[in-house]
Amino acid sequence: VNDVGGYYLRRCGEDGLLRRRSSDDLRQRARALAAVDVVSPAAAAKIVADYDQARALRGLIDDNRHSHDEIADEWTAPTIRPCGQTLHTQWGEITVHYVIIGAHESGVEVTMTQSPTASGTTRRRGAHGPVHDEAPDLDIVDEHGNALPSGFNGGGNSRHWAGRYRAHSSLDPAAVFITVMGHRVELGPVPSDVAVRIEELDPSRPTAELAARYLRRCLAAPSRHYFEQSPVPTAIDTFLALGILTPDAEEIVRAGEAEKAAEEAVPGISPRGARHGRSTRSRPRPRRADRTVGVSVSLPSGVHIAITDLRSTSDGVTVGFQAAVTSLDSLVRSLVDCFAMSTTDEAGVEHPGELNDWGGGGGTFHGRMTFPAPLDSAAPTFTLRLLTDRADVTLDIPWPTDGAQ
Amino acid sequence: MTAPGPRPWWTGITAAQMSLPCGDGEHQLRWSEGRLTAVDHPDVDRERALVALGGERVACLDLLDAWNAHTDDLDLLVLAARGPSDRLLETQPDDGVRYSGGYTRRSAFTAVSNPGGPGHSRPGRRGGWTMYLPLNSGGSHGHDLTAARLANLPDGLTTRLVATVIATWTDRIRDGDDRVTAVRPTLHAALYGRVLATAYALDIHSRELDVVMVEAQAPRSVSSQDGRIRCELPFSWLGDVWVRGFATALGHLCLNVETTQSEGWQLLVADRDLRGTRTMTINVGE
Repeated sequence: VNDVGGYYLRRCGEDGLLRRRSSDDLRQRARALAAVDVVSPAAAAKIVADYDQARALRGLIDDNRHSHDEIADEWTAPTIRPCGQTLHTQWGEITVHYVIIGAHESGVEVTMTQSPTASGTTRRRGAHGPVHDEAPDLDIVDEHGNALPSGFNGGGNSRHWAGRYRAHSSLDPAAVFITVMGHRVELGPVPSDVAVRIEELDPSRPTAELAARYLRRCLAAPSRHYFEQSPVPTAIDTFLALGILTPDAEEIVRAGEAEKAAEEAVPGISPRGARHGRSTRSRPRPRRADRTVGVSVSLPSGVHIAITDLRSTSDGVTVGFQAAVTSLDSLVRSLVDCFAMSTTDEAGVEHPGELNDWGGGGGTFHGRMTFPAPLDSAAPTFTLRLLTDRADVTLDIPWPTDGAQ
Repeated sequence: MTAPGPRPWWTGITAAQMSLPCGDGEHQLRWSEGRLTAVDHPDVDRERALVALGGERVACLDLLDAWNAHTDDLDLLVLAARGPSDRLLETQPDDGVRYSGGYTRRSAFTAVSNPGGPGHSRPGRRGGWTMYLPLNSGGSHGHDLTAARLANLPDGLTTRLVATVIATWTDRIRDGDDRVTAVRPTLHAALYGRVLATAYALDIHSRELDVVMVEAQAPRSVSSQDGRIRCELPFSWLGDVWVRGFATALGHLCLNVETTQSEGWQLLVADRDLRGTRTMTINVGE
């Protein structure tokens, strides 16, 4: 343990006990100092655990982290096979985007629009309630004629649905086709055009540089929207207290402004966009076809992420992902805090993703990250950054503005 | 006039005694002059040998052994109370009830039995040494749960054990022990927390507090400037002053204590405005 960092954290622990501060304050400070290697992650975790126990003995139970989050036993990278095929059925149009094949389950990602003339297969009366809209039951059969019983996970309304049919059985990753509602759907080859760069944290980099990186990671953290206390002000206070950054440091100023803008942000404008006064919602958006990405990344920290697809919607760009956490750092508040996503627009401005529409259990979760910023450049590549405490991953995903993948 | 030589570290710390269910009865553990003894077990070596040969565990010996194994355990300085206003959850009879929030009442040691059974309470005294413990705390971080239990012993016993830990580390600092370097932040924080608790007792805690841990022989001081209080104290202040209950003396922050030849105490205290120091003498009558 570095003497200065270790004492600083323990002093914060003492203050927390006697001044009745939230235990999350110490955890955030410990995480910030571990991220810049001023205190080793193990030592930081020990200090937090010490004071958690001291607080428990005093009945100070205010910890709002998801301490009961489970971790996954293992991770097997799924195989993701693009389809991009629209079926015209009696029910309506069903677009099969891709098939995701895991070790023990499989899924078929779809968007569906019901025909106005179709019969009411999606309207069901509950036992004691009103009529409910439900997605249709899809008959999915593998190439050997075996039915894949599946349930729908997703959202929609009486006519439009988007989501995934999940089956608790696996498909052959090398399958050539599946059959959906009697229609043959070809499974394309796993995409191989995405460039992936993993940059592990280099502790030999200047501490101020590591601190700046950590602030960027905090600004993109999905957990900012789920927890009472944003990690950004606490991280800034910690870095200032130990002289790691100075008050006039560019990163401090930028993070402070971004944090303020985030609090005032209106939907559809990224905090950074708001800072620059650039509301570009009205700018024309180029058309981009949905594309399957199909790239998986496993990091030594125990964070595993598969990027399934990109979609261009009226709200911005959304990135589908499936993730698992096989080792949960005790300084992290919840599974959703294990990684963040960001992208950079044509002006070089970094935009954090917003996590929405997510779910999971048992250490795995899936969802979509939305980038509401108008990423309307004509650049043929979408650059996605995955930010974790100990590594950055950059994915360069070819994504032409017109035409399919 | 001060005494010519150093006194034992337990000088001024009164004896203490606790009871616990052991075997078929209620036994006593007594702390005096730096040592804990099992009053009702005159031949502990023989009883330990019997346990080693498969005999029934003995609650008094379990606690005695736990005590002796933790006389240098710095976790106790993190877990135990910083002062009278820093209260741990009260001990309760072991009824095995699970409470919301992930807490349960558990017997402090498995060997301790409650002769009255679940829910039994002994009139006229607190309910033995059982306590609330977090179900999930510690294990994944290598914590010894016994430390948490020892941090909450009744009848002042924990204070005596904390005093023992402080004395152990005070000696190690004085002797230049290699183990001190790795735990210096923990020692420093233990000092800070107890000075902060003292600041609370003196109602000066609203100001920011800096505590500089100085060498044992360095001058001790406290000052206030620009809304901050700065204390320069050695780790040994905890043993000299804090464990003896002299941290606050008649509304003053006490910096040092020495015994006098007449078995009294001479205190070096800070003025209430923290601008200077003065001495106080406490004469202990016959």
